[in-house]
Amino acid sequence: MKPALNGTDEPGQTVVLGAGDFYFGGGRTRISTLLGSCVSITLWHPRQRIGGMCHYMMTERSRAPDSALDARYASEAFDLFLQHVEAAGTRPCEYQAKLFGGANMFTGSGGKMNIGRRNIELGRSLLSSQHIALVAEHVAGSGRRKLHFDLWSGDVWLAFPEGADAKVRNSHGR
Amino acid sequence: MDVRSALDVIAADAARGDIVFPTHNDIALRVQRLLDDPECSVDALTKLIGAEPILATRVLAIANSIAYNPGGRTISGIKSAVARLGFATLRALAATVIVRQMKDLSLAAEHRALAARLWEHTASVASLARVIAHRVTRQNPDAAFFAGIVHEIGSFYLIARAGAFPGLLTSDLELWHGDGEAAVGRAVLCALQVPAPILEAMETLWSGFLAMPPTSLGDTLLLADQLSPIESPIDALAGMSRRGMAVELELLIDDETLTSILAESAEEVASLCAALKS
Repeated sequence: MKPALNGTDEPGQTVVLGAGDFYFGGGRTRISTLLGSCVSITLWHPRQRIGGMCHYMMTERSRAPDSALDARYASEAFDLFLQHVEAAGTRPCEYQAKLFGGANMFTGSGGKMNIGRRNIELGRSLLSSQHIALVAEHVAGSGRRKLHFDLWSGDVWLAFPEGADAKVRNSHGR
Repeated sequence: MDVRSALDVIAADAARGDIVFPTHNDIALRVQRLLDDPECSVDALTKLIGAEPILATRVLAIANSIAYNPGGRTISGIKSAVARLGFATLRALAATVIVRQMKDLSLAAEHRALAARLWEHTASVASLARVIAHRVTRQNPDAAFFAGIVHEIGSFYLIARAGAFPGLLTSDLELWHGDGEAAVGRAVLCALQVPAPILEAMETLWSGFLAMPPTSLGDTLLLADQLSPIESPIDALAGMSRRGMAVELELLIDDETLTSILAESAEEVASLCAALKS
């Protein structure tokens, strides 16, 4: 489905993130992804107009010291962010963050905190630990979210179809 | 039940302009036309509104709601109410009469009940949209209110026509949230001569993409729709119910959060919503 983003410029390139993917860059790049219980964090530097997005599935794991960072895990995706932020000659606190996803994809879940909720809580905690301003979040609920992030403007668009079985469309969308 | 064929017929009828409004909507439509007239006088408007009891009642109720009357000075005359509300709000209120009476076109009790629940959702979204426009997106609150009133007009039309298609509203309405709602909604809004900025906001609503943070009139409408505690009954029919799992939506707006703004505005929203449902 071609996104119908009213009043926006067309990107030079579109990077589609799957679960566990990570991208950091700049220019006329649009990063897109589809979220269920996974969480995406977008980071954007308003002066440099650079930033990135992760799409993590789980919170953290026990990692051997010499193994590569795995962006399927929140803690390691965040470390990738910090590496790119430093490589760009910037500091974490100069970025604006937005947090999306963490839906409860299963109906009738019991008292145990679901994976989406754990992903949300850790995302908030990691951002807070680096004093990164969380300017917007659209999390929890049920159903999938389709997300587009334009690196040249920092704009993020989100389509949120309600309902655990809903396909990628908004209740009012096409 | 061939849902696609039924929706195609309904959309085609709407596109041809085969939209029958109740006869008492005539005054509401005349009020809309009068408001478009640059020579429109308060006296002429007052006289016309006074001739339509439902509209007159609603004009007074809204004029005396906390949203428009924070000082608590109750008025009882239509002319004073017109002066307090302004023409833009009156346009929205004329639309409420048209939308509300569309819900009474259904003959079947279950369809009328569905339309009544849809009106509760509509009133909630319109009231929230006005506050969000004022405090969050810095859009025209009256335009947002109007957009909220008409945002489910396609679904009202669907319910009104459902009697001719037995089983339609108990079928899977996934296709309605495809192109169906937008096609029918556009046709009905054109028949009502809705202003271009409202149509543009509706296109954003139908596209389903909310800007984060929200900025436009369309974003205002989408945000209000997602935040409304009263879900559209049509979403549930299409398998898109929230199932009690509310979305958590937070934004930083200057030094405030969306949550704190909505908490501060809760009374204002409730007063408007109650006045619309009265």
